[in-house]
Amino acid sequence: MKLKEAVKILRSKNAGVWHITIDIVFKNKGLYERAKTRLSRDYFCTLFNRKSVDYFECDGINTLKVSFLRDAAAGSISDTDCLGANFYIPLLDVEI
Amino acid sequence: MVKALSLMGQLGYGYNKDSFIKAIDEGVDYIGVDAGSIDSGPYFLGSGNMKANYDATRSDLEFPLITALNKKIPFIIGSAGYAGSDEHLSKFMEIVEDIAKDNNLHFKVAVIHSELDKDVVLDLLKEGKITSYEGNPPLTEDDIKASTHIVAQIGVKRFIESLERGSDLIVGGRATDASIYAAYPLLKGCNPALVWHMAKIIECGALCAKPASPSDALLGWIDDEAFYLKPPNEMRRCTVDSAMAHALYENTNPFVIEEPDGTLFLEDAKYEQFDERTVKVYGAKWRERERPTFKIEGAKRSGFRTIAIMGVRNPDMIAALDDILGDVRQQAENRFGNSFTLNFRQYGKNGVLGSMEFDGSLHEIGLIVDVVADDQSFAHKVCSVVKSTLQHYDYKGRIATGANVAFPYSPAEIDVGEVYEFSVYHIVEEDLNDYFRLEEIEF
Repeated sequence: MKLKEAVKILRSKNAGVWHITIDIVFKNKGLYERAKTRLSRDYFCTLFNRKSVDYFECDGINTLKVSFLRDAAAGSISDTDCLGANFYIPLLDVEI
Repeated sequence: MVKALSLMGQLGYGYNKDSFIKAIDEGVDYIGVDAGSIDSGPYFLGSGNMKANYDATRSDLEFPLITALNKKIPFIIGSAGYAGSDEHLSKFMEIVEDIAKDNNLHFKVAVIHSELDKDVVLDLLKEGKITSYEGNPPLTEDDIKASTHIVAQIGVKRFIESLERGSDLIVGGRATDASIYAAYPLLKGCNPALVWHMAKIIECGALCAKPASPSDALLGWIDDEAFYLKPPNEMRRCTVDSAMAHALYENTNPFVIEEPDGTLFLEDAKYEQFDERTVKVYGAKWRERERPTFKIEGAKRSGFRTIAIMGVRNPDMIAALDDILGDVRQQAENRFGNSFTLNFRQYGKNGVLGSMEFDGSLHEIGLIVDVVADDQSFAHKVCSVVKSTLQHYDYKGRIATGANVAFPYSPAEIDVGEVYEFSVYHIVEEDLNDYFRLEEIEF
């Protein structure tokens, strides 16, 4: 099953000007638990090419949250996405 | 019980007048609205310009303010003028003054300044009181000196003082969104954990309702055991999911929210559907800081931008485009040195995700030649030369010798103007409240 089929919300957004945060809110507990066995901190480090990410498993609300530093502050000359709202795209078709 | 009305997610987006009237008829203790953000990038802080212009701001402010004054409901605005510099506050106050004059209104305004003098920030840096924000690059003296404006996100203290002094309208400089809404219920002695949690969610207006909207109102009230969220507009409802999802929004950590005045812990928060359109929330914890800390924000001018937009449709050119662009860049550097920044933005290929792009399919590329240089005329010249080199570039196997690219606009070069970048986004471990000047104005 693709991740996009398992979620109610899959979004990214700036958290401040130096961080991206991704919220993955699953449709139910079963899908959330299944995704937890397949996704991990290391998985997101590789996918987003980061040395480290903050990774949260929010059991009470069936949500995974990932936050990481941007390459440059939002709106810098080299930035492509001032709101940081498109960094969830590589996750859409991930198999869980 | 204390009842708050969040007018909308951000002043200037167009508020819902019917929702506002309905909420006022229901009775509220105070009205809050967030008028700014750092979301739209460094331009607004750097330039001192407002994002929502005079007309947009005035049309959202005028009727709600007149109503609040008539009914003696305190009206609290944060991040007035968008980014919180003195320039933003004075542009915002021109609007307030015009509304007062044109409607013959008499009232008391507290203006809370949030801009910091560069020397103050330099001293704080020397004293080792400025730290990185969650791992971003450390602040340097050059960053501070290059900044056009540096502001702090103010906390709740000056808002509370302004309310105590009987201000009818509070025009806050750059402020944490939650501080706008926390001041009044804290002053009235409500439980701080409930206050800060409610304030954190309510600040986006009906963005935390379903259907979501940043341009509609939200009611929030606090009693002894919980707080409650309900949109006045009957077509919307607050659900457990919508409120919970909003608590995650724009925070790096889902359980911990740092404010200048303390830390909010959400791990044990409970969300319940109270009635069809109302959510009941309780259970968060709040730890007051012994000494407040502040996030400071600054922006600097990095030059002037000229862009040219063009479409590339020829498959042979698309296949060779990376090499072509590399060579065109080299030619530009040979001619002009490296006193400019050149970005090729390739929409349809990797314009959005950049190095993270994984989909290789393409048949057409929207190409933006993006040049930033120290002055507008030089940026224009470089952009123009690069554009023309691309137009006539004789790549291998070229059979179409007319022009390589399609220009939608004449002229192709567009001068975009000043370019700003964030230069400061750091934490100050020192109580800055004394720097946040409280100015009282009577109309």
